Amino acid sequence: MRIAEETMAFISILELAESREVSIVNSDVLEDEIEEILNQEKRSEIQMLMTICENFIELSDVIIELAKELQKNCNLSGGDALHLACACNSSQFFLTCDDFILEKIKCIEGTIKRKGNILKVEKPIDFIEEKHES
Amino acid sequence: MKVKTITKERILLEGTSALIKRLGYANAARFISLLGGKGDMVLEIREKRESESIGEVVKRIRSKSGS
Repeated sequence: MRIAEETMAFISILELAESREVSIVNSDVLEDEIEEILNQEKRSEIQMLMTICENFIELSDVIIELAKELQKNCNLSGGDALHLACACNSSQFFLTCDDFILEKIKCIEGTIKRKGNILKVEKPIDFIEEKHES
Repeated sequence: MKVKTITKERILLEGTSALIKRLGYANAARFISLLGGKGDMVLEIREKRESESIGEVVKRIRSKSGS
């Protein structure tokens, strides 16, 4: 049930990107993670769907430093911290279905705010509901 | 007789690309979801992320880009 709802939210986000109401951002870290997916079919599908992204964030020392700070403050995994740090300078929203990140929203948003940036971390389904309400 | 071969990865990429060209991104994703799939990608990715440090991810990315 949850996976079905998340899939519908993901499709709605693609619709918003196609109508240019939102822009999805790709990154070195995201591309690397996709390349590491073992299932060839899933990997190829995601790689092609990611061609919708118009912006790309390259890994930099600034991103790595922020990732280290996020990891230290919020007890995140290395990959989580790098994804969030990539989004920090380029995006308004970080959308994830991952409960391990979602349960640390307050710490993540607070750490990023102290760095002078604003990033809202939320579930894709919540983002879509808010978008429909606005 | 020469037989032109195409790798499984290439055909999967070309097939998804053709689907996107024909249906658009959202409907291509809708189609793929209708075909169904096994497993929970979020859990699979979570396991991978938990096992790697920032340094390991950075090292792999930089080795791919050659920087």
